[in-house]
Formats: sequence, C-alpha cells, structure tokens
Amino acid sequence: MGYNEKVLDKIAIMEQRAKERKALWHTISDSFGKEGAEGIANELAVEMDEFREKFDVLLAKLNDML
Amino acid sequence: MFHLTRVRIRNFRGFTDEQELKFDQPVVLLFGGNHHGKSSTLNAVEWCLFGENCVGRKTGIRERIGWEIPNRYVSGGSVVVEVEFKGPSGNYIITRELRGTGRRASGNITVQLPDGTKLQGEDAERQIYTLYHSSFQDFMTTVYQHQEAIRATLTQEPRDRNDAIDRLLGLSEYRELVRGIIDAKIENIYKAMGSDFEGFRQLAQQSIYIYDKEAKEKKEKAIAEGVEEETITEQEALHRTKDIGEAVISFAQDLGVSDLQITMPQSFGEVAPFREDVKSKIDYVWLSSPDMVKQTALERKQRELGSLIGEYQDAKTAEAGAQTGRDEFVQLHGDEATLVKTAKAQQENITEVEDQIRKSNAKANLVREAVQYLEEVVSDIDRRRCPLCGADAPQLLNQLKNEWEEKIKVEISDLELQRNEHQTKLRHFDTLKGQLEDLEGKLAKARSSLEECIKKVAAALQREIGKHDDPLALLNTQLQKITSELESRKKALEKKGEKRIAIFDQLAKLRTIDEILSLERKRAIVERIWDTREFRELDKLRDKASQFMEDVEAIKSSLAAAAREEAETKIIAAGTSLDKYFCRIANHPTIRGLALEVIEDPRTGLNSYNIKSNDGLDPTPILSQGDLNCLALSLFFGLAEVTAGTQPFAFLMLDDPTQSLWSEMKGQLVSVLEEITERYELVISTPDAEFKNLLMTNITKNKDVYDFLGWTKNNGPQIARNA
Repeated sequence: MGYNEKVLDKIAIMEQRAKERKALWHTISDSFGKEGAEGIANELAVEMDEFREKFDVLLAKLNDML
Repeated sequence: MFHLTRVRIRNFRGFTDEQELKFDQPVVLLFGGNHHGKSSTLNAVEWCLFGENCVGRKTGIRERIGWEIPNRYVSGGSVVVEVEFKGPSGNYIITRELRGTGRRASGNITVQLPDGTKLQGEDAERQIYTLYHSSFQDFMTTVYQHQEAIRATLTQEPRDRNDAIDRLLGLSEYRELVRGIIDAKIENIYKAMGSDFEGFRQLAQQSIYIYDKEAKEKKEKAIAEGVEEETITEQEALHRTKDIGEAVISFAQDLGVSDLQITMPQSFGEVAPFREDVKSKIDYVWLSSPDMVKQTALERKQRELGSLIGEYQDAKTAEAGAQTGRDEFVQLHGDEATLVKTAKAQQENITEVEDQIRKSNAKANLVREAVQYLEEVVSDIDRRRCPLCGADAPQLLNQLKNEWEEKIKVEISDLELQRNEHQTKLRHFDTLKGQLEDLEGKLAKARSSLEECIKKVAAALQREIGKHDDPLALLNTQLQKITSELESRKKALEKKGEKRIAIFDQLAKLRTIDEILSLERKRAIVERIWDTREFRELDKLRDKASQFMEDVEAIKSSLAAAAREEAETKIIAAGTSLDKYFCRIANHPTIRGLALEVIEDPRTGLNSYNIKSNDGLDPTPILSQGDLNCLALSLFFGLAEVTAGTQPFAFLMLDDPTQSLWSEMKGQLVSVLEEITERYELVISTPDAEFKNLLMTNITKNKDVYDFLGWTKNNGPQIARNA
C-alpha cells in the first residue's frame, strides 16, 4: 500500500468518526427534545451500560480461565 | 415590527373568567400587589406564542419546572389565551387553547391572518415562526425580562449567577444539554470498567506467579522424594502408568485375584482418572483377598469375644450383688415363710383383742345408757331405786359412774392400745414381705441375664456350657487363641502389603507429577490469555467504549464552545450598551464602567462569567443586590438594543424590574426607559408604587394603567383600567 492509499484510509477513518459523532449528536438532540436533560442522561447511561454488560460477560469468561 | 394590541385570557394560571386587556398606548403599566395576576398576564402572551416551549426544565427557569397552565381552582373548561398583534400588513390574532390536564391534555392553536384566513395546528406554529423568526430563548432574552431572571442574578454564588447570566443571554439550552451529558456520569462507568480490567490484569499476573511458585515447590519436593526431574513430563508420566498397571496386576495375582482388568491411559489427560481407578481397585483386591477376609473375620470375632467378656463380667457381678442383698435381708428379717407366720400370729392377736373390745363395749353401752337414764329421765326419788327390780339402791348412780370412770374406760383404752400395737407390727411385716419380694425379683432378673449371657457365650464359642464350666475362662482362652492367630497372620500379610504400599508410593509420585504438570499447563493458559478471542473482544469493547467517551466529550466540548462563542458574540455586541446602562442605572461611586467576560469553567466546560470594572478589578465583592439587579437589567436592555434593528417585536415586557433597586436607581431606570420608549412600546408590571409614580411623572409618552386590585379563587384577578 502506497502513501496515497494510507492517507486515504486515515481520512476515511476520520470521516467515519465524524459520521458516528453526528449520529450521536442527533441521538442526544432528540432525547433533549423529548425529555430534556434527563432524557440525555438516560440515553447515554443506557448506551454505556450496554458496553458495561458485554464487558462484564467477557471478563467473567476470562476470569474463569484463570 | 409587530405591536402588541390586545390579550384575552381565560382559565390561564391566575385567571378564571375571561378578561381582556388592550395595549393601545406606548406604555402600559400593570400595577398591583403580589399574586394579583400581573405576571400571569405577561406569561399568557409568552405561552400564546411559544406553548410548551416555555414550560419545564428546558427553559432554564427553575419556577417553570412543574409549571401549571390551567387554573387549579377551575374544574373543566378549556384554557384560552388570544393575543392580537398589529403588523405591517394588518392584524394577526393568535389563539392557543388547552383542554384537560396532565397526559390527557390536548391543545390547539389558531392563527388568523389579516385577510381573515385561519391556520391551525402545525401550519399555525409554522406561520408564527415565519412571522417572528423568534425562539422562546430569543423572546426571553430580548423581549420579555422575566422576574425570575433578575431574582436569579441577585446571588453572590458564582455557579448560580453563571446560570442566570446564561439565561439572560438565551443560552439555557446549551447549559441544559451539557448538564444532561454530565448527569449521565458515563465516565464513572468507564472508570469502573478500567478498574475491573486492571483488577483482572493483576489477577492474571498473580495467577501466573502463584502457579509458577506452586509448581516449583512441588517439583523440589518431588525431586527430594526421589522423582527424577527429567521424568516430570507428560510422556514419562504415561510410562509410569504402565509400570503401575503391571505392579497392580502382579499384586492382585499374589492375593489370588487373577481376572483384574485395568484400563491404561492413552493420553496425559487420562492419567488422573487412571490414578483414581487404580487406587479403588487396589483397595478392592486387598480387602476381598482370602487372607484379608479371614483376617477381617478374626478381627470381628476378637471384638465380639472382647465385648462378651465385658458383658459376662457385668452380669456375673450383678447376680452376685442381688444374691448378697437377698441373703443379708433373710438373715436379718427371716425368710418369706417366717414373715408370713409372724404376720398371721399378729392378725390372730388383733382378732382376739377386737373381740375383747366388742365385749367391753357392750357392757360399757349398758352402763353409759343407765347413767344417762338415771340422770336425765328419772326423778331424784326414783333414782334411789333400781329401775329394773324396784329394790332400794340409793348409790346406784354413783356406783355406775365410778364403774364407768375407773374400770370400763381404762379397760377399753388398754385394749385399743394393744390392737394398735398389733396392727403396727402387722404393717411392718407386710412391708418386709414386700421388700423381700423385690429382692427376690431382682435376683431372678440377674440370674436370667446371666443365663442369657451364658447362652451368647455358648453361641460365640459354638459349644455347650455346663454348670461346671467357667464361661469367663472359656472366653479368655478362645480370645487368646484368636489374638495369637491374628498376630501370625498380620506378619504374613505385611509382606504382601509391602507391594501395595509400593504401588501407593508410585501413585503418590504420579499424582505429584500430574499436579506439577497441571500447574504448568494452567500457567501456560494464563500466559496465553492475552491472545484469546475473549480478550481480543474485551480489548475491542474497551476501545469502543473509549471512543464513545471521546465522542460524548467532543460533543460536550462543541456545545460548550458554541455556548461560549454565542455568549462572546452577544456580550461583545451588547457590551457598550451594558456598560452604558449599568453606569446610568447603578450610578456606582467607584465602579465607573463594567464589562462581562466569558471563560470556560474548567470543571464542567460550561460558561463562567467574570464581571470586570473599568479598572480591571473584580467588582463582585462590592456589588450590592441593587447593583446586581442593575447588571441584569443592563444586560437585557443591552441585548434588546443591539437586536433592535432585526427585532420583530415592537414592545418590551418588564416584570417587576425594581426588585432590589433603591430610589435613586429607580429614577435612573425610568430615565433609561424614557429613552427606550423611542424604540419600543413598554408593558411594565410592578407592585412598586414609587416606581409607578416615577413612571407616570417622567415618561413623556402616553401611558395606560391597569390596576390589579385583588385576586380571588373564584373570580381571578380584579382588574380596573385607569387610563
């Protein structure tokens, strides 16, 4: 892979991140419109809890390997 | 620009019956005491334009949380607010209605255009925005100076004042959005994940250390016990199982078991089950061999005879004790025949004495009746004669009395004493007889137990036991024989047992090797845990969570930056006016100029405002409540002034602007308002009579006054127009 492709890859990653951030902002904005600040707090906490739940399942499996 | 010309209100907050107020003068004053409906009138205009947008936490106004639209004392009936604006092309009438309360509430909005066209619902909302291009935040910042905005600014607490200034600048939404993100506390969850991950990493390292240490210790011990280090491998362990298997077969054959089957392990994983299998089979072969069976039987017999010896000795002792007790009793009190005979003699004595008592009683009755007859029935003359024969017997009564007292009474008493003595003796003999029967019973029972025991001995020894045999001696003799046989057998078994011990020793070594290799294998698994699919997924998940955190943080930063930029823009735009109005209204002796500066609160990312005087110092320590009131008003007037060119509304609404102002400040405020009337119409609500008088005297434009005279639950505000 030449420098051109490498740079384009990096740009693509940045664009993808920007898209994700925009989507997240829309989620936050919608929650605010519907339920105010509490709506945002709940929405973000739910998303983070999903990470946490999956994390806990994997960690439990790894702990069993010890 | 749009002029406010009329408002009609029914059932909205403090209002009940429908009331209409006209705004057809440049300055309209709503004057009256607190809670008389003045603020409800201004709120009605705002609600009519912005509906739900001016309700709840999102407004940034604390009082608006749980704000009630319908009048709580009116049951049924819809809320109606109608506002009429005069625009460049004619009059626009906006009517907002609300039916019901809570979740069942339903609303409707109508906009009537100058040509009479009526728009409803979303079309009406769009039309309002098209006309005014104004959000609730814009309206709150530049048209309607809220009472709460000043009240909130009058705090010396920086955080609350920042909040209030954000509100004055129309930035509450930014603040609420950032607050929502902060309240999610996702960084706590992320930190907990990081902490758990670190805990797991440490635990894994600790496990490696422990497995390694235990494996080394066990290896050293195994080598000390004769295991060669190079044999501690899976392959060598499998070889070792072959040797053990052969040794077990040979051991079984020595004990007469020729058909023993052992499953040999094919891989190292089968070594542990092999060990358990071999161990149980060795035990089985050992315990079921003829020698062991015989030895077990002899040991059982040995225990049985030992127990019988104890039992026989106890029975013998009990029988001897019972015999001695019975014999001693007989020697002391006689045997049963003697006791029966003695008792019989006593009974005869009792019978004899009782006969004598009966006879004496017959005579005694006669004498007692005669005495009674002579004393109670017969006259004194007749008492001197015998009542039976009539012969003279002058001493008859005395003689009879003497006989009763001296002879009969003593005789009967003596006889009764004798009878009692005989009865006591009879009872004593009966008691002795009973005691003897008990002793005889115990003796019989002891003899029976002894006989039963002798029968057991006979059964145990498998022979008859005659009267002349000594069971104890027979038992001891047999026990000695068995003990001797057991001794000789044990010596013979010890030799065979040596093979068994050797196999167990091999098994123990195999077990140690198995444990060492298992520990090494576990260590290797933990060492490779970082390469597992689960760990890679976990790592990926942490990256995603981290990215999510970064995205949220970036959005929060963007919000904070946008809020700051907007604040800066507005402050720069309104800065000169702010300074001008503050200096004029506050007329502070030392603060001759004032500027606002916005910076980022490093902890929350929210806007933080510094107030600076023209000498560059922080004036807040010397700012009074009145000064802060002036600051809030100056900011509002400043923003209204800079937006005057683009402002769609031709009026300002001020709600209780003089909360903490003193007289001089009020005068200055009126002077500023006089200038503002050149650009805007004013609707001013105040309970302040001094302020009202200043306005009425110094404002040169036409004025109209609505006096809010009172308020009742049933009728709402009592309003009188006082032009």
